[in-house]
Amino acid sequence: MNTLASAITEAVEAVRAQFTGHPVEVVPDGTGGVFVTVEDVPVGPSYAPAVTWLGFQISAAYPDADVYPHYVGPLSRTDGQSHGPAVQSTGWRGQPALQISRRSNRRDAIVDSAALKAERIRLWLADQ
Amino acid sequence: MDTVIEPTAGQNERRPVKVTVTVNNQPVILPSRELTGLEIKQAAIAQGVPIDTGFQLSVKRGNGRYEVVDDDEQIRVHPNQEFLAVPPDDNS
Repeated sequence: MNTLASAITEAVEAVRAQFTGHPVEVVPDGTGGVFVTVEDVPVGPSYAPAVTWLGFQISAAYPDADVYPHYVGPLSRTDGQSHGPAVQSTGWRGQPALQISRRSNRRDAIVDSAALKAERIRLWLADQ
Repeated sequence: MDTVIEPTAGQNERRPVKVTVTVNNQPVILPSRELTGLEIKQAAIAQGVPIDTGFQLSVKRGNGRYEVVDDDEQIRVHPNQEFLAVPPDDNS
């Protein structure tokens, strides 16, 4: 399938705007959605490295479906502690990753977007 | 006899203003140009926007980028500025 739904195309453009200046890779997932990876995303001084990539899938069901979960590159906490709830080691598209499991259970598809969710995930992680 | 006192420039600057913005695509009249995130949500709730104060507020900047506004963070608003308020995410 070569044609993406307009909602997904708009979502990708919003992600590019949200992360202006950052390389954004977009790869079709084969079922009408896309895999998105944003490079050089700052996650704050609590982590080493403090900048990493952020990956997520926008499924064909978007905007009705939540964008979940999110992935970042392997990170260590600078305070030496282990990661807390909702963060676990896994893989993302063939590379080591941390999975960030934060569901939007009361999501309003008219208001929320993949770009806004990505920014919320980034901030949430940085605040841990 | 009534006396009309013309306001000075400084007094004009301090005069209360009303700024109309949108919160979740609904118009909201704010009572000041400088408000905290919590005050913006409270104004939106009072004017019928179906959110609560626990929602996370974001403001849309000119480049299309959303920035989260914390409850105690004071920001300067301008007419027609767009805000979004969404329920907090849950660990799963």
